[in-house]
Amino acid sequence: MKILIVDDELSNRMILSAILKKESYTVVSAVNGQEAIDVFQQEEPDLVLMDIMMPVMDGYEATRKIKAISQEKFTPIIFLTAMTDEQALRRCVEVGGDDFLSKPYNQVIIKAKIDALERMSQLYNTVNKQKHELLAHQEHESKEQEVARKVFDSILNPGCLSAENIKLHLSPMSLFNGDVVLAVVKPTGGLHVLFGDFTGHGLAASLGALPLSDVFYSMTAKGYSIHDVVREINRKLKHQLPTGMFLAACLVEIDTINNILKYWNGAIPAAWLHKGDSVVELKSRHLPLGILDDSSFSDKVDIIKINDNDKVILSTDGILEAENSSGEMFGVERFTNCLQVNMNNTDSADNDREIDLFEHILDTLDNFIQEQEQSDDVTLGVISCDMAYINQLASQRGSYKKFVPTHWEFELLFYYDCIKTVDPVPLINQIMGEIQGHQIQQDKLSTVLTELFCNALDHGLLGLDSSIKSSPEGFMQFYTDKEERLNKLDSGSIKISVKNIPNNTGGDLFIIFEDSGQGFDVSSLEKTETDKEFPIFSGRGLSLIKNYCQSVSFNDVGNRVECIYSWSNS
Amino acid sequence: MTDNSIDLTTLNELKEIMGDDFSELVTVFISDTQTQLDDLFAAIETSDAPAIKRISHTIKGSSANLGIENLSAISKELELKAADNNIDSSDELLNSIVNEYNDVKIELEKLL
Repeated sequence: MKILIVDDELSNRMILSAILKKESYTVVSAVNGQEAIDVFQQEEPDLVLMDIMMPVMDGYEATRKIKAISQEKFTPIIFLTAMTDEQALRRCVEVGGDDFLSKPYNQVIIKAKIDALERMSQLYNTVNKQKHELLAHQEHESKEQEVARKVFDSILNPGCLSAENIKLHLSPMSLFNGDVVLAVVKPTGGLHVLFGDFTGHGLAASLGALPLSDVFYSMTAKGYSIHDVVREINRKLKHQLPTGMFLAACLVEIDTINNILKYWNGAIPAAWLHKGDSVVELKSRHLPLGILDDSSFSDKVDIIKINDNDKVILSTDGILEAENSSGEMFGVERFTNCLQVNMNNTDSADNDREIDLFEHILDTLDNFIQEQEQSDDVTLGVISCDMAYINQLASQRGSYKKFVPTHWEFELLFYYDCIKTVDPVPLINQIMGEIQGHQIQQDKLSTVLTELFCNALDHGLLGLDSSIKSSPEGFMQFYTDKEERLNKLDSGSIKISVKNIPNNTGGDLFIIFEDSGQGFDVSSLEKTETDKEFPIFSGRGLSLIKNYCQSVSFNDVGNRVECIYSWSNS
Repeated sequence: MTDNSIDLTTLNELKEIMGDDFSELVTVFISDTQTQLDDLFAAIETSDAPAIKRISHTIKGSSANLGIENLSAISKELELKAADNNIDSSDELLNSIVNEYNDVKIELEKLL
């Protein structure tokens, strides 16, 4: 421990120095206040013994300056004075003195005082160090959050949150409160909106947003409706999120073709449809997402007829739980009351209503909470159901560009070894998607292609008999046989060709599957068709194909089937 | 010299602490105090109360350190009077201080 002695009297310095050195302290000294400051900065002592009356600069001034330059580290200063002059003592304390020492100096007292102050400075410096560590951690965390936010922003927002019919109040850091808002136009027109609130807060609460947005955007892009989207989100969150973490969410679909609103609400407390003359609550009828297994999950949506001027109001619980200075919450009643504002509507006022409603809710909230700074927790959206505008959004989007139906045809030939490893159906879907856009990829078409491929493989190449599948044992036997025969397959091929004949709204697909197998007695198929029994096809597959296609026909040999499937672009 | 001139307990403790440096300390005290007495004389000549106060304060403290109690006590009396700007009797107190100093000096020099 290093101690600085400041005294203009040589004899005093000698005595103090001798005492301190006897206690094994390192001693440095200065003969006045000015020199004390210089030595202090140079030597960085742990403690200072300070005389008061000195030439050039006195002890008060020197102490004030030393305390000012050593704020980061606590350095105790002991004044060398008799404790008799009250005025002087008060000044000592005022300028930052920590203790007093009077003459004649006593070795024991000096040691005791230095020990006590050393303990104090250790405590202070530990606390100070921890404070700095804490600040550094906080800064680090907020930097990380900032980076994370930018990454999330780019992942979460390929949608249309900035569309003119969507008014949104969303704090940049809302993600770390667990709030998520997603909106995207459907390829066929219409709009999907999701308001979600993950349990917890911080980075952990935001992570679920990644699989969520992935499912939301990709399934919407493929043309799925919200009940499919919500089921898949639930399945994925249930699978991927840890127990106890889930998502309260309201999914809304504005269906511009049928002028209806479909919604699925799982535990979002503030969701309404403002219809001009009434307000309809979009009631929560479900548990939050990520809790139930797929088998017990309900994707049932509610449907409401809508008009262009209707507004959807969505909010996470931030608004309802916003408190004023007396600890009162904003609550559902205040929220619904402020939705009544536009009830005395006339058609001429309709253009202004959207801005009014959104601003009105936020103004009402501001007036309620007043000086409380809580708006960061508030996530509010007001979405106008202007259907012409929404349809226009869909056509503006490059990736959702409506492909004009065109003439095209492709033919794929899969040989026996290739068939063992490749499933042609997704491949065909992908080719058609690239040519004609996602509109053509419909569930029914996929079913048709899958059944046609199974028939060509199972019966054409492998010569399996579906009729054995009717008993449970036979069902198992069928698949055992299939695996065995497929493994042994050393010749043969399946040729698939698809041709589009376009019309105004889509086209007719001519789909041909031709296998190198033996075929079957087509006349037997026709004979038994009235009985709905097919000797070779196990029934279900072919009847599905017949239901979904305009026509289905076989060649005489029975190894080539041609179907016509009509699709629509709208 | 009276019995109160030097507190031998304090002085002996100091001797033990200072060890080989004790002689030097005594020498420094004698010469520094002599210088201060010269300064004090000049300050009283010019009726400079703040200087009287400062110098007597210094003599008070340094003599107390060596256990020289009478000298410290008289210096303190002068310091307090000077602090009140009461310097009428400064000459008398200076005389007392000088007498005490001379007595103490003889005693201290015996220790060298």
